[in-house]
Amino acid sequence: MNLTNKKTILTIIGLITIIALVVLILDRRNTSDSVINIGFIGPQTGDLAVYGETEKNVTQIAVDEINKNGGINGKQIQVTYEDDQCMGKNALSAAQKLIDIDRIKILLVTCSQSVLPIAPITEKAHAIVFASYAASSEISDAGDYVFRNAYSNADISRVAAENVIQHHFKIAIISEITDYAADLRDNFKREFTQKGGIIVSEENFVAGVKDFRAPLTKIISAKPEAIFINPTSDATGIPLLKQLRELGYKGPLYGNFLGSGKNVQALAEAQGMIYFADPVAADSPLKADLLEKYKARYGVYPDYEYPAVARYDSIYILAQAIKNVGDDPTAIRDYLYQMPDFTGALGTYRFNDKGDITNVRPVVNQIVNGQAVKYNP
Amino acid sequence: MDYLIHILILISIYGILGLSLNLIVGYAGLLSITQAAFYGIGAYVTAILLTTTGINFFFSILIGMIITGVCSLLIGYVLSKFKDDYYALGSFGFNVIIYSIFLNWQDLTRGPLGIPGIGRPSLFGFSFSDNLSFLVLAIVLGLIIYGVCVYVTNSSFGRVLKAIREDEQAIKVFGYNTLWYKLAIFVIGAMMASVAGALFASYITFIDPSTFTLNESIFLLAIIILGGLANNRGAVLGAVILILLPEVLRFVGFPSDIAAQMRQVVYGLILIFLMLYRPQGMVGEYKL
Repeated sequence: MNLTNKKTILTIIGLITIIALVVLILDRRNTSDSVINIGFIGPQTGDLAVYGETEKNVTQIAVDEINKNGGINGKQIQVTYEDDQCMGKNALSAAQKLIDIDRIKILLVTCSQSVLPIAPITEKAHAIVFASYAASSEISDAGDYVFRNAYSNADISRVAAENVIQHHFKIAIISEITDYAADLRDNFKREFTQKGGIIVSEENFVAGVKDFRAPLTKIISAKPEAIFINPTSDATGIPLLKQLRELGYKGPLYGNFLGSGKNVQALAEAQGMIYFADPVAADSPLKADLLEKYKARYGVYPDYEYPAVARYDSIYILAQAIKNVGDDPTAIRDYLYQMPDFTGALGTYRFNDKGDITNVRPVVNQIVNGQAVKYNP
Repeated sequence: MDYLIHILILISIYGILGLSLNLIVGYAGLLSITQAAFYGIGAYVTAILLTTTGINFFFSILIGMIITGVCSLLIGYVLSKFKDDYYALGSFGFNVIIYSIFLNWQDLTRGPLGIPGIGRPSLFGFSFSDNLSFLVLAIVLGLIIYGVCVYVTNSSFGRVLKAIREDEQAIKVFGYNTLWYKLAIFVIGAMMASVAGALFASYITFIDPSTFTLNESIFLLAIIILGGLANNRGAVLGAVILILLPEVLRFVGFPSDIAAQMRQVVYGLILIFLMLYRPQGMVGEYKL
């Protein structure tokens, strides 16, 4: 064995020893009884950081409020933040670290791509996972300890299909290929065709595309009675709307949460569009208050309202649970399933037996004269 | 201890990936930036087979290796028309293509929704469902692949590869059909990466296309360059460092407002300094 090989092996052994020591030392750290530890796993760097930052900021607002008012049963809340860039591998590393090293049993998680891979280990460790923006319909069955006050796509697509089928049987759909939009699309298609509707044309585009004329021409030429547009953000949604009208389409238009954006409602091309969105579009004083607090602390309004509002509620839901049953995760789980109606910034709701929220119906609105008005068929 | 086991499993998986890419880049001198595509094919084959047919994990590895082998043979053949920098660009293109297939062939891969609920392996009634047994499995597969790499690189075949890397024209003069050698090592490397993919899919239990982007290929290249090209130990060492480093940085204790960003900056800086002072990698025997 030459010198280089020896050095290599020594380096490897050295590194493993260091990490093992770090882990062992931290492993012995006692969790203090005067603090309630909560973990946060969300994207703080990378393309999706905007969602994670919003949730992190709002978590800090809620936690500071609770701590200032004496904490929960005299205990202060302390949050440990970990970055996962919405990637399963990173989320799993973060979750293992929070559960194993920090001994945290309550995790706030941002993305669907993170909730799904960590659910098996959090179930095993009996740790609560609380998501506020993860919309994937798969999460409903992810586990007993998984809760969310995010809106499941399954719910919105059912309401959308029920509404559309009342007026149109043949529609076309154009979707962005992201986990959010594709999940919504698949659920909508299933609901709509089960009710006897026909999808005469379906087109998809990837994130970042700006020119939709080719797929739009194709779906218009299929002569649908109505078109359902399903982008993931303003960045694709606005050019999509403009180009659809440019190409001469004057028929009925349906859309997803895109319609709840103020800058979309101001567009001439969006007038008359009926959209199906999460209930945050409804205005509550609690929500307005939260948005102002956010502005006061961070200088801007949150980029996305839903994750801000839902995450804020989630902290208060957990605080209410801990106040009533203590911080044992299994007791919290049982409490959440039985929880009476909770009134927060999002509305008044409770959890069903899958840990999804109920009692809140998605919003069905129409854009009229630059304003969203409740749609009455 | 679960955290440590988790990190060791990731190191095993990335060690396999490093070893596989090192054969192609380090020994044959083919600057391939498409390894994440083969890793992804292995992961998707296992994920799809385990969730839809309930076939045994070990069969799915074999099927994944065969499919990856065929794909890499075709890709490798096309790439053999390129040289040097153009080879890198061409291979980069294939990664993008395979990634968009994962994203767009939605009937098969479920596109951006990913595939959840992938099962853990079992063999003769023994299930590798807890992480410790999975780690043992990953290490055993890693050792087998390490053994194959050592065998390949020490054989006369490996010596021809190194000769191709140093001077392809010269070795051609001696009557060697260099195309076959390059194709063979490309396919072997790709099949090894598919084994890592199968392990990854089964371990994480959820995969989506975002894991198999060009970024991942560049990360794999970083592993072997940092560890040292043309050295099997270097490939493993690179994986150890690049997987451990971000985890260790979790414990540095940055203020929480900037912890995530600082972690990335420090990670980047450490890589820059390592390359500045060890341009040949930790134990490298060849420089690009």
